[in-house]
Amino acid sequence: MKIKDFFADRLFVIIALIITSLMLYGTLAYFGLPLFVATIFSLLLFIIIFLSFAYEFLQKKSYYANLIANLDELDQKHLVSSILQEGDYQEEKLLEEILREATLSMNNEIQKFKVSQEEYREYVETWIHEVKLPISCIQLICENNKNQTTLSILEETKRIDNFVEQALFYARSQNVEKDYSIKKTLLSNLVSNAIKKNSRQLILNHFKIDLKELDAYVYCDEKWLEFIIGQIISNSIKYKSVSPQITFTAIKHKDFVRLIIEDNGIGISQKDLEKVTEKGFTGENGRTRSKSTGIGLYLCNKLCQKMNLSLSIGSNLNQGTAVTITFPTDSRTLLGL
Amino acid sequence: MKIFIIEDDITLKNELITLLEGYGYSCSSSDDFKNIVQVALNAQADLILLDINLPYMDGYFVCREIRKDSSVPIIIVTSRATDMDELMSMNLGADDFVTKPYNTQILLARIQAILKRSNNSMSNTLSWNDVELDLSKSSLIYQNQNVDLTRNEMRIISLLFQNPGAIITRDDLMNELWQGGDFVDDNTLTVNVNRLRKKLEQIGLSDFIKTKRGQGYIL
Repeated sequence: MKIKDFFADRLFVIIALIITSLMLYGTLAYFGLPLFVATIFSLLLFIIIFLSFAYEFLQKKSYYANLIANLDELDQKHLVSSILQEGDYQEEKLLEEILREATLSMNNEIQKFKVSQEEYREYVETWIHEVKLPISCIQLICENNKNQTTLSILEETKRIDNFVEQALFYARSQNVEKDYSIKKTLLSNLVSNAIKKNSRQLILNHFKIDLKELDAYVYCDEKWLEFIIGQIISNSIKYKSVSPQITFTAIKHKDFVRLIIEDNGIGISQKDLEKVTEKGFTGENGRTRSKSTGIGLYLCNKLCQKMNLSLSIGSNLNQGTAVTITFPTDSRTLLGL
Repeated sequence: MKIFIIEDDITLKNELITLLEGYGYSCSSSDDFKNIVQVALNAQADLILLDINLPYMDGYFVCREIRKDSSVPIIIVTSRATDMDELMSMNLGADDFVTKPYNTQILLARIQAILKRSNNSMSNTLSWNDVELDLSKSSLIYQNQNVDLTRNEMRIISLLFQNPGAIITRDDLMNELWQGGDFVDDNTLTVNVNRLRKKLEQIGLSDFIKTKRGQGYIL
């Protein structure tokens, strides 16, 4: 609050004060009081009222300065009403009441959305479990009646299953609660399982698999990580080049283990590279090659963040892409999970 | 080997039975879900496949009730794949936990592993045209002659045995080996098949595995 603004707000009162002082001076002079007595009286009136203004200004300034300072420090600014201190003036009390009322109503509104979002998430999860039953049926029917047609149906069903799986993990990644469990796991098992899940697609596309020194232990949620590796594999399949190959390498450091998943596919251009983990980003490859939803890598990145892992992507156009997942092995980092 | 299936989805149940019978197991099931525990116990099965979502009572309850009277191996099959479900299943005495939609190869492998563990003396054999394949000993028997097979050879020959008279593509065979954790390429598969053929010739089975050019192999 600036002193100029404060007095600008009270411009009329001050003008009235000056007029009153002058009138007092005139009246006293008219009734024959000595001029210097009239001057003192009118000045006194002016000064007393002016001082009371100054006092009010100082008090208000300190109140609002305090409030603004607290607001700056506050992380969630919408909680400001709970740090309001009792004011001395009616305006301040009114302000408090308005803010409290507004906050309360907003909290109710937020709560409504939280509940409806949670209900929606629960519905999606239930739906996913339900839809898995017919998918299982279709898969079994195809396996039991193997021919060219059912094999194609099986392939398409696998795609549906992948999308369903993606939806499940998307619903879980939005959850604020922690619904994963970190366990010590052998990296080679995780990689093997993810490859087995995608074996049909990989074989169909004549992929060569290379596993290097994967006998490292990492801390993560197995299901989540298998899903992440699966997404990366399916990207490698989507954006493959001639004589496709995927190499899985683990590098052990003192404080972390790195898993590098490298393919020799068409790669990602430098300008797209930094955006590939953004939600809904499809990039040049996603537009010109097979249709992309821009969810896969976004989800991988998000799930990794939740588990305290880091995911980074490097690529050279027309040479291949390498996705690196870093697992901390330092117990201090793991304590936070 | 007898497997009792507790599953309320009729299509899924029937397909499971077809699948398992194709692999030489005999299957039984029941729609009497009110008394399913008693029916399952009376079936005297070697293994029970149990779904979680059932009418009248859930699979966890069924599992616990069966465990009170029997130590028959139980594999829980469910579409709920959270850690909590897995933990519950294991705590209630289930021997394994498979999630839907299952990879049939994985389901079969789990069934085989559990049966092997629970019944050491069992012999699980497949046969075709006087040739017998002993799955538990990994050997092939023909006219009293016996040849031991490696893990990969075993996987190749058993897939052919399970589908006698049907063409198995190279991709099928490769997938079978991949499911065993050996991510071989095309050349390695050829080497494995050739080696297997040589072993078969040793016991007088020449041209047992026939090549269908451009399609795959057939017994």
